[in-house]
Amino acid sequence: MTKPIDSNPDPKSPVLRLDRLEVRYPSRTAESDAVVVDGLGCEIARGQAVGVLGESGSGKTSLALAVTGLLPSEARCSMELEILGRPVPAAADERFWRRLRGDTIGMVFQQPSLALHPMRRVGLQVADVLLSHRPWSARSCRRKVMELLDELDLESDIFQAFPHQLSGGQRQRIVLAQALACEPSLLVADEPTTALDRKTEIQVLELVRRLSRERQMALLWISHDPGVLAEITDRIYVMYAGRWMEEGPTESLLAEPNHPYTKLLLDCLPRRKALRSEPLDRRRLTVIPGMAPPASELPSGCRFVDRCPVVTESCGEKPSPVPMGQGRTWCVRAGSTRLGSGP
Amino acid sequence: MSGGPADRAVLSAANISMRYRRGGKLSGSEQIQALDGMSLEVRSGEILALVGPSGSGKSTLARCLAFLERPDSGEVGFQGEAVPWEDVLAMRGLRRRVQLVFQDPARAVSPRFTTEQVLREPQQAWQQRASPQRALDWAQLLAEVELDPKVLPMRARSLSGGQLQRLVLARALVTEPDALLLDETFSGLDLSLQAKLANLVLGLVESRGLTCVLITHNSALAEQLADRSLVLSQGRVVDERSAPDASTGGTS
Amino acid sequence: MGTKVARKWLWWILAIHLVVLAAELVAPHDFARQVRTLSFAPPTPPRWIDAEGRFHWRPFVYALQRDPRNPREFIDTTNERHPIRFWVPSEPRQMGPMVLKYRLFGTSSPTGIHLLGTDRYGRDMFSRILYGARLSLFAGALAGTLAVVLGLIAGTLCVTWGGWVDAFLMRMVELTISLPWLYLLIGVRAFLPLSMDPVPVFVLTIALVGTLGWAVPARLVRGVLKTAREQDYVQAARGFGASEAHLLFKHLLPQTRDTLLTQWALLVPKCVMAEVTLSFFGLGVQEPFPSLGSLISVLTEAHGAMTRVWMFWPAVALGLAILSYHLLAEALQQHRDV
Repeated sequence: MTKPIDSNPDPKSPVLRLDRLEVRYPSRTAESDAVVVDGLGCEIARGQAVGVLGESGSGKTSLALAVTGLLPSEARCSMELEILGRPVPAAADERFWRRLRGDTIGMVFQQPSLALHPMRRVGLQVADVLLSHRPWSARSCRRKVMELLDELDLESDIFQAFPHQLSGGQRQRIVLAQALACEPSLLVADEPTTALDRKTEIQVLELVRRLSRERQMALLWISHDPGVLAEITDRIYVMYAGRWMEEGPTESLLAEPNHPYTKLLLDCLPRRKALRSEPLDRRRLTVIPGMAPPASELPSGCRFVDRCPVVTESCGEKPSPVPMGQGRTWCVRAGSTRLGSGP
Repeated sequence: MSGGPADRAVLSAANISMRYRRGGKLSGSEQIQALDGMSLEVRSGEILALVGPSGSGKSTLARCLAFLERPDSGEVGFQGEAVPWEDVLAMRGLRRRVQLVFQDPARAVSPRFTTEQVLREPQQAWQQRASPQRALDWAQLLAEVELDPKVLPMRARSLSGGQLQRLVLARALVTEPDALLLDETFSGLDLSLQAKLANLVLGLVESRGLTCVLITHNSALAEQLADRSLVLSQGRVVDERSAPDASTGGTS
Repeated sequence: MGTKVARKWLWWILAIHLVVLAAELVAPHDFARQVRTLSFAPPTPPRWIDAEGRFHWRPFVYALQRDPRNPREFIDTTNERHPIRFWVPSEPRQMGPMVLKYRLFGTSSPTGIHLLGTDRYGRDMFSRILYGARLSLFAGALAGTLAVVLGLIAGTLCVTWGGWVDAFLMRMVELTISLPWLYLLIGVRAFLPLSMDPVPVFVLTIALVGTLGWAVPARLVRGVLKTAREQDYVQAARGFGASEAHLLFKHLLPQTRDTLLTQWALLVPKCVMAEVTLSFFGLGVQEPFPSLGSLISVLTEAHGAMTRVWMFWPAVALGLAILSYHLLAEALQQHRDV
C-alpha cells in the first residue's frame, strides 16, 4: 500500500509542524460560532515529547482530533499542517487520513476499555492494525505482535486474552500496542492514563518514554495533570480557552511559570508534604477565581483577562509571544514585571 | 462537633472480609478477595484518608461503611454499636446517617430526574413511613455547595462535571448525615475544579461538624486534606500515618 | 419513546385497530349475510366510467350476474348503475353500547358492493376480513399485553424475592421456552369441546397464548432489574434509607419500559399468529364468526384458489398487520440502541 507521506524524508524536518490551527463549531443558539481552538502552532522534532497542559473545555481534545483528522463533520477546521516535512492538503479526505492514522501517526485516547472490542482476543486486535497497514502475512503479523507485547512488558499469553480478563493497566498497554504496531513517527495521546491509578499510570508513562527514546518517536501528550507531563515530556504548551498561554521546557516551565494562568494553575496542586493537624482553613487549596469564558463569548484580547490577578489596560489587546528564557509567553506583561505577586 | 468525646469512633470496621465471585458458572469462576480482615476506626470529626491503588478494596470498604453492603464476616459499627443488618427498618435509618458520594457523579443521578427531583429524593424516599421532616431550605443548601438555583429545572445529567459534583454533595447533605464518605470524588478532575471542590468539602466539614472519609489514590491530596491516612493494599490496612501532633485526633 | 419512526408506526397500528374495532360501521355487509347466488363472486371495483364510456363524478358499481354462456363466471349488469354513497341507512345493529342505523359506505340498492369479492356462500370478503382481523388482532394485542404483564410480574418477583423464588421461576422460564408452544397450544385446545361460544373461545385463546408467552419478557425484565439495582444512583437512593418499594417504583421499573415496549411489539404478532394458527386448524372461534385464520384456511380447499385470487386477501391483511408490528419493534429497538 502506498503511503501518503514517506516515512524516510529529510531527517532534519520536524515530525509535526502545525500552524494557524483554528477549530470552530457552528452554534445553533448563539449568533457567533464557538471558537474552540484559535490560531495554534507548534513543532515537534523527532524523538521529542511535547505536552499540552489544559483544563477541560480548553480545546485540547479538538487539537488532538484536528492533527489526526478525526474532528466531527460539523466542525470547521483550518490549519497548515506538515507531517514529516510534507504538507497535509487542506482538502485531505478520509482515505488520506486513514492511511496516515495508525501508520505514521499512532493515537491513544481516553478510556482504553472503550477502544477494545469486548469479544475479540486482544492479540488479534493488535494484529488487525498491522494487517490493514502492512502487506504482511498473518504469521509475520503475529510475530510482530508478540515482539510488541514483549516490548510493552506484557506476558505473551495475553495474546489470547479477552479485554475483560485484563487489568486497566494491561488494557492500556494493549491500546498502546495498537498505536505503536506500525512504528509511527508520532504518537498522539489524549489523557490516556486518567482512568489508571497513580502507580500504574507512572509505569505506563515510563514505558512510553522509553519506547519514544528507543524508536525516536515524537510524542504529543495531552493532559490536565502537570504531574503526568512532568514525567513524560520535554516541552510543555499551556492551553487556555483555545490559545497558547505559555510554552517552554518542561522543567523550567513547571518550576518557574511566567504566565499568571500557569502560575495559578500550578498553585492549585496540593502543597503539604506531610500530615499535620492544622485548622481546616489552613488546609484549603489555592483556587483560580471565576470560570473559563464560554467558547461563544471569548474576550477579544488575552483570554485570561477576566480571571487574571495582575491585569492591566493593555491586556485588552491580543498578546503576541514574548520570548522568555527557552520558551515563549503570550502575556503583555511577561518580563516587564514579576508575575504572581498579586496586585 | 458532634457532642461525644472527640476520639469516639463514628464508624468502625472489625476484621471485615468480603469476597466476590467473578465469571459465570460455566466459564469457571474466580474468587476475588476484596476485603481481607480489615479493621479500622473513623473518629468523630476527623478527616480520614484511605489511600490505595485500584483493586485494594477501597470502594468495597466504602460500601460496607455506608451500610450498603454486608461483609461476609466481621462487624461494622456505628457510634460504638454493631450494625443490626437484619433489622431492615433500623438499617434504613442508619444509612441516612452516613452518606456515600460516588466517584462518577453522572452515574450517581438518575437520567430521568431533574436537578430538583434529585435533591428532593432523599426526603421522598424516607417520608413514606417516618415522621414529617422540616422543609428543605433550598436557597441555603444550594448556597452551601455554591450551586446556581437556575439549574433546578434542568435535567441533572445535562449539568457540567463540576455542577454535578456539587449536586451530589448537596444531595448527600439533605439527610443531615454524621459522616460523609467521598469515593474518589476528586480524581480525574481538572486541577482548578479539584481545588474548588476540596475547599468546598473542607468548608462543609467545618460548618456542619462532619466526619469525613476520603477515599483516593492521590496521596498528595490525602496529605493536604486529611488528619490521618490509612494505606490499603489487597484488602488490608498496611500502614497508618497520622500527624505527629494529632494525638487527640480531632480538628482544632 | 422518543423516535419519530416508532411513533409513526404506533399511530399506524392504532389506526388499523380503530378501523377493525369499528367493523360494524365500516363493513358494508354483515359478516354472516349470505347471498347464495353470488358464490365466489369476483370483486366489484368502484367505477367512474360506465359501459357507454361516460364519466360520472360519483363512483358506482355494477351488479353481478351469472354469465349465461358460462354459468361459473360472472358478468356486470351494465343496464343499471348503483352509485356508492357514504352514510347509507341500513337495518339497526348493535355496536358496543350504540345502535347503528347507518353504514360508512355502500350502495342504496340491496345488490351491494363487494370490494374484495365473496366467498363460497356469497358472503362479502371485505366485511369478513374486517371482522376477522378484529378478532385476530385484538386477541393478539391482548394476549401480548397479558404475556408482558405476567413477564413483568415474574421478573420483578425474581429480583425482589431472590433465592428459591428466583431459581424456581427461572427454571420455569427455561421449561416454557424449551416447549414447542404452538403444538402445546393446539394440544391444550384439543382437550376442550370443539364447538364453543365465540366469547369463551376468544377469552380462552387470549389466556392460553398469553400465559405461554411470559417467559422471554420475564427473563429480560429480571436482567434489566438486576443491572439497574447495581447502578450508582440506585445505591445512592438506598443510602437515603429508601424502602424497597421506593427503589422499585421510582428507579427500577421505569428502566424496564423500553424493554417491555419492544417485547410487546415483538410478542403481539406472535400471538396473532398463534390465534390465526388455532383458527386455521378449526380450533378457534367457529363459523360463521370469521377470524383471519379461518379465512385463510379456506385456501386449503384446493379447487379454485388460483382462479379466485381475491380469496388471498385475508393472508395479505394478516401479512400487513404483522409487518406493521415488526416495523414498530424495529424502530423501538433502534431507539434503545442509541
